[in-house]
Amino acid sequence: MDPVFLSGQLFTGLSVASLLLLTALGLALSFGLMRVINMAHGEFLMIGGYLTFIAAKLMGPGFLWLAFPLAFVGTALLGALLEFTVIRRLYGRPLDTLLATWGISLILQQAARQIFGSTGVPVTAPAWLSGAVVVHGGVLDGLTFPHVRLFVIVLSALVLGGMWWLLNRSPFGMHVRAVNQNREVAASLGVNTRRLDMLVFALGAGIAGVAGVGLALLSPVNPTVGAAYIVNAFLVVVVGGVGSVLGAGAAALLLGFTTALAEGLTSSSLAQSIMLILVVVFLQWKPKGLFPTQSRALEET
Amino acid sequence: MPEMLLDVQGVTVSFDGFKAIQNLSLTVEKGSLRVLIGPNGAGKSTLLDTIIGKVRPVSGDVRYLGQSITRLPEYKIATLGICRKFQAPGVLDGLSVRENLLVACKRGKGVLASFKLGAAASERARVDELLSLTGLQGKAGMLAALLAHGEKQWLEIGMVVAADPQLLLLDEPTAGMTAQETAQTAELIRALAGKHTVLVIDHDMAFVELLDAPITVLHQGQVFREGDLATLRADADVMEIYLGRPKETPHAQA
Amino acid sequence: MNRSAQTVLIGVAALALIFAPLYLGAYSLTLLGRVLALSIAAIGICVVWGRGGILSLGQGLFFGLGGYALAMHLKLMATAKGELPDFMVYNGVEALPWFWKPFVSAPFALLMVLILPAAAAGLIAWLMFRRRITGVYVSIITQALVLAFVTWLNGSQGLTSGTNGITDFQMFLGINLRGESVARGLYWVTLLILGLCLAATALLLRTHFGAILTAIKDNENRVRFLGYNPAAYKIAAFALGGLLSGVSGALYTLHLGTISPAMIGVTFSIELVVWVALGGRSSLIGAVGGLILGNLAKDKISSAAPDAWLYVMGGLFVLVVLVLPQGVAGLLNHRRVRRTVPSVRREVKEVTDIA
Repeated sequence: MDPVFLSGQLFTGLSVASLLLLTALGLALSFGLMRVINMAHGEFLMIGGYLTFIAAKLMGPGFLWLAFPLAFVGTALLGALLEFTVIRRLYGRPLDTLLATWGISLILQQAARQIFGSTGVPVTAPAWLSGAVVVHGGVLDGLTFPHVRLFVIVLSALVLGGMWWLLNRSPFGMHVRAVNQNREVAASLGVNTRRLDMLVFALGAGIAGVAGVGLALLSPVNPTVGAAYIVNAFLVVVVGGVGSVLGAGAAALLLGFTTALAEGLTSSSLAQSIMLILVVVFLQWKPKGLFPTQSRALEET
Repeated sequence: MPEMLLDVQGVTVSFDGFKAIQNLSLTVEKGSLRVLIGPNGAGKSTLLDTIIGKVRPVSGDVRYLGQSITRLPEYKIATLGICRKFQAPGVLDGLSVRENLLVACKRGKGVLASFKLGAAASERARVDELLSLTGLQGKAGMLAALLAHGEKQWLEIGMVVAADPQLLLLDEPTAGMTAQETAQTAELIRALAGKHTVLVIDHDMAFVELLDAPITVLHQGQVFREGDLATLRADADVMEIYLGRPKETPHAQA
Repeated sequence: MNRSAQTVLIGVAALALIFAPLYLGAYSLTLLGRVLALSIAAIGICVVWGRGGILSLGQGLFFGLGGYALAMHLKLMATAKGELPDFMVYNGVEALPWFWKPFVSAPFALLMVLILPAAAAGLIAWLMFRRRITGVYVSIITQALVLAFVTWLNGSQGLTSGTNGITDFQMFLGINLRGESVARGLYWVTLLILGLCLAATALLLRTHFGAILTAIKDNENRVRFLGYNPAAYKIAAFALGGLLSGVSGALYTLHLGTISPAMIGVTFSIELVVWVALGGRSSLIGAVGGLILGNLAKDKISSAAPDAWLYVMGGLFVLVVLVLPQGVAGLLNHRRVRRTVPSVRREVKEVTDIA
C-alpha cells in the first residue's frame, strides 16, 4: 500500500481516536465509580459542539477562548443536574439507568433539532488552525497534517494527562479510587460519596463537552452526532477495562487505528462492522478488558 | 485405613500476589464431620472456594474420591456430589421456598431435562422431607425473599443437602442466628454427618463445642494445628493467634 | 387486581382482537396487524430480560435476520425467472450471489426465518456467556452487534440493496400480496402466530426451565454450585428470544411490504425494550400489551404532533424506570413485585465472603 495514504489514514485514525477517548473518559469514570451506563453521554458531546457554535457566533474568530470554558461548564452543570435528578435515584440498577438515560438522550436530541434544525451547523476554525503541515520529500512526500486535527490530538493528550494527574496524584483522585475499590468503607472513612459521585459525573460530562469543541472544529454539529459516537465510546470503555483511564486511552487508540486501517483496506461501513466484531472477539480473550480493575468486589455484579 | 473422600494436596491460591492459601494439605475421611476454624484472613472461605472451583489454585491439586477436580467446571464439581453453603444466605429470592428446594433436588440438571412441567413424585416426596427437616413446612409457598435471616440459612442448608451430596461444605451456617437456633443447627449438622461428609467453618466457639468434632485450625493460609477442642484450648500458640496480636498484616481488599 | 378479573380482561381483549377485522377500518387494521407482529418480539424480550435478567439491546439484529430471510424470498418471487432483482442490476451485480440462490425456495426461506435468528442468537450468547460476560456488558455488546449488522447492510448496496432496503413484493406462497382480502387474512395469521407463541412461551416458563431462569437471575452462583450450568440455560433463553424476534421480523416485513436497515437499528432495538419495560418486563401479557399500546400511542401522537413525540417517549423512558420498575403489570399484580436488592449491598457481601 502507498505509504503516504497509509500514514494519512493512521493520522486520521489518531484524531478520531482522540475524540473517542475524550468521550469515553467520562463514561469510564462514571461506569467505574457508579456502575452507571449513561446513554445520554453522547449528547454532552453534541451540546459541547453547539455551545462552540454559539461561542463562534458571539465572539467571531477568537471564539475558542470562550468556547472551552463555556462547553466545559455548560455540560458539567447539565451533568450534575442529570445526576441529581435521575441517576442518583437509580443506583444499583444499571440496566434501568441505561434505559432512563436513553430517554434523556432522545429529549436532548429533539430539543437540539428544534433549536438548531436537523442539518449540521458549521463552525469555522480560526485562521491559525486552518492550515496544514505538509511533508516535503522522502517516502512520505505529500503527506498533510491539517492543523485542526493536530490541535484535537494535542487537546486530548493534555486532557488525558490532566485526568491521570487528577486521579493518581490529587486528594480528589484518592477519594475516587477509594470509592472505586470499596464504596462502604470509603464512606465510613468520611468520604462524601454522594457528592463525589456528582462531581465525577459532572467532570465526565464536562470532558465530553470539551470533546464537543474539538468535534465542532472537525465537522458540522448535528443533533445525532452524539448518538454516532456513543456506541463506539462504550466499546472503548469495555475494551479498556472498566474505570481505567489508561485502558480507555489504549483502547481508543486501538479502535481508532483498527477502523482507520480497515477503512483503508475496504469500505468505511465494512470497516466499522469489522471493528465491532473484532471487539466481541477480543472480549473472548480478555473478558475484563485490557486493564481490569483489581477489585474483587466487582466480580460478581 | 479409612477411605479418603477429599484430598487437598499442597494447594496455593494467590490473589494478585497475595497468597490466601499457601501449600495447604488436608484430607477428609468419608462420613466424618470436620470443623475448620481460624482468625480472619486465615484462608477458610478461600479453601472452600478452591474445593468447589470458584477460585483456581496456582499450584497443587484437589482430589475427590481419587479423581482430580482442580480443573473441572464448577457445575461439574457440584454434580459429583460436593455442595457448599455460602456465608451470606444464597437462596433464590424470586422463587418460593418449595421451588428453591425443587431446583436443588432435581436430578437432571441439563437444559433439555428442564423442559418438563411439574415434578416427579420422588422429587415431591424429597421436597416434603426437606421442608420438615428445615422446619419450613408452614412457609413452603412463600417467596424466599420474605423469609427471616435464620430461616434463609436453614433453607439454604436444605438446598445444599437436597441432592444428597457426599461432601457438604458449610460456611458459617449459624451467622446471624440466635443461641437457640444455633443449637438446633448444630443438632441438624450432627444428624447429617455419617450419611454425608461435612466440613464446617465457624467462628462461634459455643457452636463448635456443640458440634463435638475434630478441628483443624488454619492460620495465614496454612494448616496450623489439628485436634479436638480441649487440646486446642490448652495450646498456647492457638490461643495466641486468636487472642494475641495478629501477626499478619490485614489485606485491604480481602 | 385479582386473578379472575385478570382472566376476564384478557379474554375480552382476545375477543376484541379476533373480531377486529369486522369493525376496524383498513388503516387501523393494518396498523394493528403490524403492531401485533412486532409484539412477538416482546415475548422474546420478556423471556430473556424479564425472566433471565439479560438485557439485550440487539434484538433488532435477530428481527432483521428473520425479516431479510423472508424478504429475499419475496424479492426473488417478484423477479422474473433468469433475471436479477432490480437493485442488483442498478448496482452492476452480474450474477445472483451464492447466499441468495437457495431463497428461491419458500420452504427454505421459511426455515431460515426460524433458524438464522435462533442460530445467530445462540452463537452470540455462547460467545458471551461462556466467558461469563454479564449485565451492562451484554447490553453494550449486543448494541454494538446490531450496529455492525446495520452498518454492513447499509454499505452492501449490491448484495442487500443497502439503505433502501428490500421492497416491492408481489407473491408469497402463490398468494398475491396486493389482493383485496390479504390484509384480513394476514391479520388473522399474525394473531394466530402471536397466540401460539404466547401460549408456548407461557407453558415453557411454567416448566422447570422457567424456574431455573428466574433462579439464575436471582443468584447465578447459587445455581451454578447446585450443579447447573447457567451458561447453557442463558444460551437457550437467548436463542429462544432470537427465534421469536426473527418470527416477528418476518411477519412485520410481510405487513409493511419492505424491510430496511433503518427499521431494525439501534433505536428500534432499544424502543422494543422500553415498551416491554412499560408494560412489565416479567409478565408476558404485560410485555406484549405494553408493546402494542406503546406503538399504537406512537402512531397516534407522532402523526398528530410529530415534534412532541420524542419528548413524550423520552419522558416515558425516564418515568417508567423511576416510578414503575415492574411496569404497569407490576402495578396490577403486587404479588409478582420482586424486592430489589441494591447491588451495592451485594458487593459488600461478596467482599466479606472472601475473607
